[in-house]
This record gives sequence, C-alpha cells and structure tokens, in this order.
Amino acid sequence: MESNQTIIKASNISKTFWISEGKNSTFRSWFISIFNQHKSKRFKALDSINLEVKKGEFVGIIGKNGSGKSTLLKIIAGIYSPDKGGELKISGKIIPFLELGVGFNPELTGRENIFLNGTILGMSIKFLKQKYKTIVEFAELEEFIDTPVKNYSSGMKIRLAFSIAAQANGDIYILDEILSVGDAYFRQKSLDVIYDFVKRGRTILYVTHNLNAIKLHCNRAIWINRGKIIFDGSPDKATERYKVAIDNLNKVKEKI
Amino acid sequence: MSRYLKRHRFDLLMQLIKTSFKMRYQNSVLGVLWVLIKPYSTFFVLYFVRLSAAHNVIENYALYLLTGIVIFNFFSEMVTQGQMGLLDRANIILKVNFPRQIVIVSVLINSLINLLINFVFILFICVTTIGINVWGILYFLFVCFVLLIFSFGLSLFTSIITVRFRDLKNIFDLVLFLLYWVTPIFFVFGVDQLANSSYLLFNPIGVLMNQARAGLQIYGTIDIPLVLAYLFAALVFALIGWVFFNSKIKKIAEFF
Repeated sequence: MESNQTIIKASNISKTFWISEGKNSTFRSWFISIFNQHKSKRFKALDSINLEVKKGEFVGIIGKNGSGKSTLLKIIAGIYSPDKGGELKISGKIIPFLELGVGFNPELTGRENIFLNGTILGMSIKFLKQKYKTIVEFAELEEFIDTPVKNYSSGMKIRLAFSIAAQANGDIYILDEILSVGDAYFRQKSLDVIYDFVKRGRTILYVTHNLNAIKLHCNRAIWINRGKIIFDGSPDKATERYKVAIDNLNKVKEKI
Repeated sequence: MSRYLKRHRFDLLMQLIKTSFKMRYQNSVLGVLWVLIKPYSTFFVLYFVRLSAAHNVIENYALYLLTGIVIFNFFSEMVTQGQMGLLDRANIILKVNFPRQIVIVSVLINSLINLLINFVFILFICVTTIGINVWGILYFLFVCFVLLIFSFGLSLFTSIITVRFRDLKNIFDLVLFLLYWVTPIFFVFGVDQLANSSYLLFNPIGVLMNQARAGLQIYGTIDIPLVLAYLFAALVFALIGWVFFNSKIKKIAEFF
C-alpha cells in the first residue's frame, strides 16, 4: 500500500549530547565547573541524517546498541529536539510505541490502567469506553481486569499494554523492539494487528535486533552505525551486510 | 481556556489527578483523613503552646491559626509538588509527547482538592462560632485562586530548572521552612509587638493569608484592590513562566 506521499522528511538531522564526567546536575557541581574547566565531552548521537519515508512503508531500523536508533525515533516522536540546522517535517499523527505500558501504575487495576495509559497515549475517555471490551478481549484478561496490575505476570502486563496501544489511531507507528513480546501465540496476534495497520496504509518505523523479523515484515531497511545511515534499501541486502559486519567484528575479537 | 483544550487533553488531566489522589489515600487505613490529620495535629501543638505562653491572644485565635496552617500547607504543597512535577513523571515524559503543562496543572489541582476538603471543616467551625456570609467565602476562594496562579507560574520555572539542577529541591525546602516562620501563621500583627507590618509587603504569602482570613471575618479587613494587584502580578508571572516553559521543555528532555 505504498504511495508517493512523503510522510516523514528529515533533512540534516544531528543530535549532540553533552556527556559530563560525574553528571553536572546540581548547583554545587555547576559552581565548581565554572572554576574547573569543562570536563564534559560532546557526543554526536546522530550525524546529519537525511531520511524520507513514504506513506505506507514498513521501515526496519537496525544497528548496534548505542548507534543512534532510539535517538532518531525520539526525535521523530518529538521528545528530543534536533540540533540547529536540521529540519524535520512530519505530516501525520504519530503513535509512539517506544515502550509498552507507559505510565502503568502497579497499584491500579487493569481497568483503571486502560484509561490512564490510554489517555497518556492521546485517546479520549469516550473513545476508550467504546473500545474497552475490545481491549480486554484482545488481552484475554477478562478474569483479571479488576486485579491490581502489580499482581500481573509480565506477560499479562505486556498483553494489556499492547492491546491498549493497538487502539490508538495514527498515521505513523513507532515500534521499539515491541514485536518480540509475549509468547508465540500472542506475538502472532500482535503481528496481525501491525499487518492490519500496514494494510490500511499506515507507516511503520520498527527498531529491532531480530534480523529475521526485518526480512520477514519490512519492505525497506535502514542500517545506522555511529549516528549515520550507512545503508538504506532492501531488507535482504541490509540484513546480509549487517550480518557480515557483525561476523567480522566477532572474528577480530576472537583473534585478540 | 478550556475551549482551547482538546477533549483528550482534558481527559488526560483528569486521569492524572485521579491517579495521584488514589495513590495518596486509597491504600492507607485512614484514607482521606490524612488530609486533615496533618494540619490539625500542627494546629493543636501550636495552639496549646501559644495558650500557655500568652494571655492576650486575639479573639478567634483558634480559627486564625487554623486558616494560617491550612493556607500555608496549600501553598507549600503546590510549590514542592509543582517543582517535582516533571521529574516525578520522567517515565511518561520520555516516551510520549503531550503538552507537559498538563502535568503541572494536575499536581496543583490535587493540592487544591486537599485545600477544599480542609476548607469545608473550617467553614463548619465558622458557622458554629462567628458566622459567615457567601461573599466572604467567595473572597476566601478568590484569594486562594491568586495563590494558585502564582504557584503555577513558579512551578513553570522551578519544574524545568529542577531537572537541570537537582539540588534546587533542597534549596526550596529550606526557603519554605524559613518562610513558615516569617509568615503570620501563629503570630499576629499588632498583638505580638509587630505593630509595624510593613515588612509584610515583602512576603506576599502573608498578605494573601491575611486577606483570606479577612474574607472569613477572622482577622483584618478586606482590601479588594490589593488582591487584584496581586492577581495581576501573578498572571504576568505565570505568563512569563509559560513562555519560559515552552522554550525550554524540549531541550530539558535530555537532562532527565
């Protein structure tokens, strides 16, 4: 369901973090740092990223830990602002699945958490009331819905969280490692939901370390290394090259 | 303002308020009674210390003291909770993008609810002793509203700055502690050899506290232009705070 309509356009996006040795987060350390010349280092998490995503694309993003994947997603989601000089144009509503169960309160029941988490994700109470049954059924938690979430197993929590997030209506879905949740049965169920998004022409950005998932689901893959996009194209090629690079890295380590 | 507030944002605000209210009282044996226990226990200690120390206390001293304690608690709770508003909710702020002001408003409204619960009791005592009139009650609430606006403006600054400089919390705890002793909570101008109350000008909390008392005919006289002037100052302060908050909120995300 790809179209030619550009939905995300990032031009020259960079992100620099200041990493201080011994975090400079009190007045005391700040005063000291005036006299004691800066020990903080600049760290460029993203280095002039150019990215254009079309409506309906299912984009997989791969890269090592700390390569800048999550920073890029957070900038697109509007949580961080990019460095000056970069421009980000987004034409649609973003649903960030950066983490499931954001704001879940363990003391509250499953029912109460549906409304809390749902409103945090931008849904109205009226809408959530309409979808309440669907959410509970999908999560298969009918029996436990009035139990505090602290008594849930981690699988139950994830199921509830996914079921709530799946109701959010947006144009762009940002998924950070979330399709690897739950047991095989629930994973398939949640994948079906994601495929349904794709069918309806939604755009998906998907970060994962699971290369098979990228090959299987995505129609485009981006490989980020040290804050730069070093490959952008077919998922097969991307995962192949990524594998080779990792194998080489391991070989070098073995020799040492 | 509600006209500009989208439906789901209002729902989110209500959910945040509900959740912190429940968190505070649901799991304790005495529940909502805790809202009353703190001010009343302070009241009894101060009241008996005071009675044993002096004979010439003003008429209605009990109500004078009680309103002082309740209003100061209201203010100090808004200041401390508002200051920690962003940090305490880092888990949702780093994952979902929504207008962050909602968080600040929600903690202030929680303090307002506590104030109103206490106010009902104060009114009850007033009815049985000195009597009340509707305009007086409205005046009391209006003065509290001015305090709320001022605290909102203050929190817009402090919540951001506290993320950057964590020890601002300790500094504010100290300031509030000192403020407690220079605010006419338990002492009375004119009675306690402090006939010249001009220094009160430098303590807006004291001025407003006495105006709230005047509304309930406990102490002093109503001065509407004065309170309106404070309201104007508080509104200007909150407006500057709003601009400051909006200009810094994105940048502050990386300091959590």
